[in-house]
Amino acid sequence: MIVPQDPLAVALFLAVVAIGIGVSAHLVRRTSSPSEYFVAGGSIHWSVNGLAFIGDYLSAASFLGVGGLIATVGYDGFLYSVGFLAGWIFALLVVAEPFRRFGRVTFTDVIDARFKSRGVRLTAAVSTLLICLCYLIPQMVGVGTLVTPLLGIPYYLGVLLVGVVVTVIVATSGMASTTYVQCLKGAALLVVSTLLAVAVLDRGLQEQPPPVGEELHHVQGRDGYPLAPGWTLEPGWSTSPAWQAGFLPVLNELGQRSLWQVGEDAQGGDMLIRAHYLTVQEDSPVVDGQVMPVPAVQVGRLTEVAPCDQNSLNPVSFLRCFTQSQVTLWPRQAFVDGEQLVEVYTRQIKSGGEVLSSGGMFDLTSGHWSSALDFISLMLALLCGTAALPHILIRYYTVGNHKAARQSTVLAIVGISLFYCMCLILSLGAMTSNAVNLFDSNMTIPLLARSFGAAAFAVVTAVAFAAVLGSVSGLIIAASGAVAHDIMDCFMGLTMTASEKVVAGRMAAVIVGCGAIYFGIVFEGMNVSYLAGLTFALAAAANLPALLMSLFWTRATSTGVVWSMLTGLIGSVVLILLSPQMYVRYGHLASDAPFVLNNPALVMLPLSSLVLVIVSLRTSVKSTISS
Amino acid sequence: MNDHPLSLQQRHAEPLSRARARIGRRIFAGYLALYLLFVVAHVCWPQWSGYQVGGLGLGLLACAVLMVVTCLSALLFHLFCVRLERRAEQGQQP
Repeated sequence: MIVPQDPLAVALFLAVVAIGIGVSAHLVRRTSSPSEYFVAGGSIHWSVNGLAFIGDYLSAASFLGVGGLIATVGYDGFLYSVGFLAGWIFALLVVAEPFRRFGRVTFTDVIDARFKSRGVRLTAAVSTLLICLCYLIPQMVGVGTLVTPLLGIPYYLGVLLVGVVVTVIVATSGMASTTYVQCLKGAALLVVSTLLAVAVLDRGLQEQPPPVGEELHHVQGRDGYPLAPGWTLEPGWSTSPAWQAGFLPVLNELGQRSLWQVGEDAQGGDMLIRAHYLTVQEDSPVVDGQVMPVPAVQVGRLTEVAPCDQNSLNPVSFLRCFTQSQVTLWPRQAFVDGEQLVEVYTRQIKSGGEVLSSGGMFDLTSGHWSSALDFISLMLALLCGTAALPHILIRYYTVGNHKAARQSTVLAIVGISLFYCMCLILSLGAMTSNAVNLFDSNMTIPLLARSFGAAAFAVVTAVAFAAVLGSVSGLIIAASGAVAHDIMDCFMGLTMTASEKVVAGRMAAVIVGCGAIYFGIVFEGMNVSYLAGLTFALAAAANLPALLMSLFWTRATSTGVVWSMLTGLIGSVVLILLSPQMYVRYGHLASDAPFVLNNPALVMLPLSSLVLVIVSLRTSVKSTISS
Repeated sequence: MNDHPLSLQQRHAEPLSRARARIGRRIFAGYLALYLLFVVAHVCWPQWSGYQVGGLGLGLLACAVLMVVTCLSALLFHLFCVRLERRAEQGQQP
């Protein structure tokens, strides 16, 4: 989606870049030792660290992804917020205390503190690297989505530009600059989302008529269907896959194809309702028959507003009023036409109460077991994933003591809770003000801001960009720690001076930054919250059993830990590649996927735990016999 | 691979640290029970999230309650730990 560039938006974008690079340049002298580079020497104040936690965690996946998900699927999207937050409690109450006691610089330090095993160190470092790279993908996809309309440049160039900026920030002054960038970003994110939520409440809820061209009522006498003048039914329409899937294929006077649902209007006459569809031709997206430029299809309106006092809407009365109103939703269907997968979005009018109850994403009411398992798997991944995310956990080292680590986590939990509450209001605001881009739900919050004017759009886009910048820099520093500290220093045993270790960290940051750019380009267009959910599953399956067992189970052995991590990593990646969502990505139907769940945590977390227990018990027996 | 198994007592030698970890695990057990109830309710009785109480969906209210409980659990843990640390500073056994 390309929109005209707003000078204010571009100026704010450049200001964010300048602040990031300026902070890095200012702090570069404070990164002379590995401890200062990787964990800021443990010298960060708890309040700064708490805001940095918020900035680190509320990434593109939250600001863009959760907002987009709630606006497209309703209540089920909000469940992500609940799960993300639950993960923080797990991290604070169970993992934080021993993590600080046994670690120094990286996540691997904690797992290996007990075993002093090269195998454990290498596996944990590879796991950290892979998880950070996977979490970098949604961030980079989010930033490409943002920068494209902001600067009017192609998606790949946006990802490249931001990737270079963030790599420069991390490579110059490591965790110190990353922390202050994240702190500023966390504070800005909370302030801006609060202001935007207040604006949404102030505007209230208004009924809107259907946009021109969404409905055709007047019978024109063409094959019995109400077509507009100059439009014809596609030749062979009655035997076409589109018609068999429930859509009427129509050609306009330019020969462009559109798909329509056949329905009845209030008077009982035939009515056609426009459906929007997406296909891929020669690696380029085709939306509603148009190739380039791909049109932005913005939807979301209230068809009927409940009687409520629009002048005094607070969050509760807003939600109450929304619940009693009627709103349009656009659920997705898919069918195969020839060898092409066609994704179609069809209009449904639902009550707000239905939107704010389960069923938008997980079909739990049908009693189908795969939906129930998918839901459980996601909630498990979100609960366990945060406590196993290396880039979040290393922030426990950046403060001076346990109390400061705890205070910063409590501040983060409160701030993140507030943000998710705002996010719900923002998403419902977008859902009712024509601000949902059907083919790129990640743009929901920026489009909502644009409905308040160019200045709001500029500010929100700059903050969203800062959100990505902060998260990406945190991920890159964690990944570079895995490469330089865990692999090069501890595993390979390279003899390096303190300054050489810092140089190694910087080089690793550059390499990881290049990887992030590449994957960000490859995964263009996927919902960033969904991608983040997969990373949480990977972290939960690969890291959590190893972390918990090595901390709390005396009989765990290094061999058991290695096998568990490998099982979790490889198994999760394989199951993700075989999942229904990925099959759609390959151009096949979701029902063709050999693995029925979209999130592998439910299978892989128990499996990797079981592997750890069995291998540990067997290897501990062997070592007892041999001794 | 060389294992150097240490007993849990050796690894969590500091009494204050052990006490903090114990409090954390207990609060988490309570929170986990609530979270599991939330998930099981969605799976076994998915319609409940649509029931309305005071004009709001029950599911949405449950989400709000869970979020508030998350914040309160974190605060509670911090307050307990502060009390423990204060006792430890005064030379009392945590």
